[in-house]
Amino acid sequence: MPSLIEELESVVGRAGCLHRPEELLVYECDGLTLHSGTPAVVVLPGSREEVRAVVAICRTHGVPFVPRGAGTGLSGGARPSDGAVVIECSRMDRIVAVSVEDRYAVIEPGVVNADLSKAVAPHGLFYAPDPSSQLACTIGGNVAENSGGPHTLKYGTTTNHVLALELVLPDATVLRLGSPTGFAAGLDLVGAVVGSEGTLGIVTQVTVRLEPTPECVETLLASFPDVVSACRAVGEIIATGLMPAALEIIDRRTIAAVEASVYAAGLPADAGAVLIIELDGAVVSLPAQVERVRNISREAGAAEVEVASDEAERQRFWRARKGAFGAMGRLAPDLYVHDAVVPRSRLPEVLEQICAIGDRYELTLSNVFHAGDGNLHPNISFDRRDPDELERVIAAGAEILECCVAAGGVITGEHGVGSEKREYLHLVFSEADMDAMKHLRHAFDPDLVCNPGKIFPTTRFCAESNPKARGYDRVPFD
Amino acid sequence: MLAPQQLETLREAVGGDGLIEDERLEVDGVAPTLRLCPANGEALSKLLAALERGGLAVLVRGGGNRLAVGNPPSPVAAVLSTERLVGIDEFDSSEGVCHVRSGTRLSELREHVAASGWELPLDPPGANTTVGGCIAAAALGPRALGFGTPRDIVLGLEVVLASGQRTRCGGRVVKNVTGYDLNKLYTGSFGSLGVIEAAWLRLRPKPDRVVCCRKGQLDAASASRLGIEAARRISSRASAIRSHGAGGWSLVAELAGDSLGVGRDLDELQAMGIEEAPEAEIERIRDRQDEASAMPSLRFRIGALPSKLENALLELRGLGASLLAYPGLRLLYASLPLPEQPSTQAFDDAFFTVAKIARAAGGSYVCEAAPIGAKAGRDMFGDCATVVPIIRALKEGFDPAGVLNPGRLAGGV
Repeated sequence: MPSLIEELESVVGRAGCLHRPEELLVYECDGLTLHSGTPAVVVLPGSREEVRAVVAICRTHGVPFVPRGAGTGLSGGARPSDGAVVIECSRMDRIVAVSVEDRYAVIEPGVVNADLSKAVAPHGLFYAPDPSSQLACTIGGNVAENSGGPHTLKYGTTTNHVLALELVLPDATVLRLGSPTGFAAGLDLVGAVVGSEGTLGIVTQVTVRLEPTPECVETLLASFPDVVSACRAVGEIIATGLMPAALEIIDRRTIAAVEASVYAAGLPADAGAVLIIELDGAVVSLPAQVERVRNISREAGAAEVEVASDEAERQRFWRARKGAFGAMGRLAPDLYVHDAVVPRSRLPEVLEQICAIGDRYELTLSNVFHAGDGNLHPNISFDRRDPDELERVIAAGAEILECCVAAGGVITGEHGVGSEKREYLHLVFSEADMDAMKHLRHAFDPDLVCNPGKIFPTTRFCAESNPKARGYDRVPFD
Repeated sequence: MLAPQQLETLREAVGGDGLIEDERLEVDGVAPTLRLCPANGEALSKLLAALERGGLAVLVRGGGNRLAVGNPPSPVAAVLSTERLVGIDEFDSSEGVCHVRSGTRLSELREHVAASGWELPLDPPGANTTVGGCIAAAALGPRALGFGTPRDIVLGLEVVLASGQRTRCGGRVVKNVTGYDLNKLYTGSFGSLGVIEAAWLRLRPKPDRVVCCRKGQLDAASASRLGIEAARRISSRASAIRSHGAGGWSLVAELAGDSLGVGRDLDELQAMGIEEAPEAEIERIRDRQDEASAMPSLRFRIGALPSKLENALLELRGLGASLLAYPGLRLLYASLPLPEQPSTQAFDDAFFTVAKIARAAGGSYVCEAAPIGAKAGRDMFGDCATVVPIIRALKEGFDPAGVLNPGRLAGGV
């Protein structure tokens, strides 16, 4: 019988099958470098048929597989379990069709998020979900994680933009869900698959909704003495009925890091926080909205409110926000980007608690976040070579999640549970809640071979809950 | 008929006054005489556990507006009504979110939140539509263009499974990827996977200005074109076109938002000959969306891409269909007159032709209302054989004993 690797090479060719230790190194983890595993082999299929054949081979050999996009995820969603086959979709990067008239695109999963918007821009269209990693991350990965981004506030997350999907199931059959109209007869299985973190199958084609490019965009940058007053402005803006495209807060520590980096955007050094407000819509509507936002910000305590006078200035404002994570690289060798959501009105008190947690554990903690959604990203800069510091990072992270849940929030807003937070899922959901979720998993993947070891706590999601399971999910948590 | 012991068990589980023995509901020839009305989540949980233990099935009912949708049910022992699961538990007027029990009428919730400047973004037809019923049926109305559909509005759900297990998914926050998105699975599952006990919903700020517009005496081509044009205004939140017998087509659109934006869009529509009209026009459209289910016909909901809409309308018109389309939502409703001599062949022909039209229009179809004779041997959810194995596996997981609406989902699951 040919070996696993020989069989896989017969499908994807030798160049599409990586198995030497130095080749596998880069696939040991995703953007969450704290969690890693060594795959048996990484395959790079170029078509749906190749994905099918690869999955069928995995099935024959009894080997679990892990779908992977660009590996930019931050929750270990693409982290391989030891000995698994990683199926990397980057070669499936064709834009299959664009319908300008009907405003949708059919694409393969390896298409880079920003490339899609770039391709359809000449038609006055764009793809709305814009995660911070949009220059690298792929739509397939976005589908797996139900990715968001700064403009989620107005436009929604990936799930609001996926009309149809084609996926290869763990039994190597192909399933087509939804339609370009967005309406599917039967159950909303498209909605169930989006955000399932690659555990229900491998998406091989995606039909997405395209939005018309906004007629007009205005971007404001308001500087506040502290985060609390910036949060107050956010609450007021929403409460008055405005629907900005984005409301992003950068705290004092992040401002300092950004201004000391190549991403320096001229943010006021003495500000306790800055708030980026982006409004889009009709040319006639925006001037009045800009004035309302300016007034609300001033009333909430803003020392200064700048309005971008041109595209270059707008990009300058956004450079501060989008470069924030990169700027953290100057502070320490490692960065732990947390992700949790709280009700908007609880932001000030929760932020205070999070900063106190960071201080108590003597960690460098800063915040840059999607304030309009209540989606926090506490960032901890650290050095993993210091075991004591690493331990404090993990402990502080757990406390931060507990604090967000206690405020009525959840443990992830856009990064996913992955391997990172599976042991914290019980903070939000009961055993019964998780059992219901497992019914969905089992309907698609009864043998638990597709991206095992994700989402559910290891100790609870074992073969005993499903007599048909072969137990691949019993992968030790490193 | 249930044995006295069975009745007693159910009475005990649901609570004394929650068991009513003169139910007169009939769905596709199934006519249970018993109605079970739990007053809270705990009673609902106990009741479902008792039903499952006793091997008894139920039809789940909210406001009762969309019971015609679905495949014919297998025999059931009772109707499970959410009529006593009512109340608005929480309304956060600073956040624009609310927690409401499933039997609460949309009209009550709408009124409640409007007082604080918020709008309930759900407007399906049916005066007594409940929150749970609307979600379970994924029911929408003309304003879904601006509001979004129920899947966009539901933030979290409390669902009692057939085993009696009380579960939650999602939450109260507006952005959430914690665990699987079961909200999507339950929304539109017609209560076949679990009974919705309560929901967290996202509200929308009330617009500064709302304007309704209308244009009549159109042909199918210009109605389709104008319907799409109207739907693509920035402030558009409804755009509907409908046929009037042999008398042509009319367009009704609604603009909502800031006064300046609405004013600008109104000017543009007026330049196309679309004139301001009374607000009640949109209510008429909503009534029209549902009226076909009240008379004997074959009523289909069909997905249709804007570029294919005109052709789909013309072909359906050729079948004598009464039509209503929401071009911006890529959706149309067609009511076909019943064949003069209903026969298997006549129904086969009608379903075959609609399926062909839906495929050509880029979408799928659901037959939302049909006489029992037309339902026999056909799937009301159209051509979805490829997903039936998944739906069956889901049903086996969520409701292995077949307690909830047995037979009603795609594939007769």
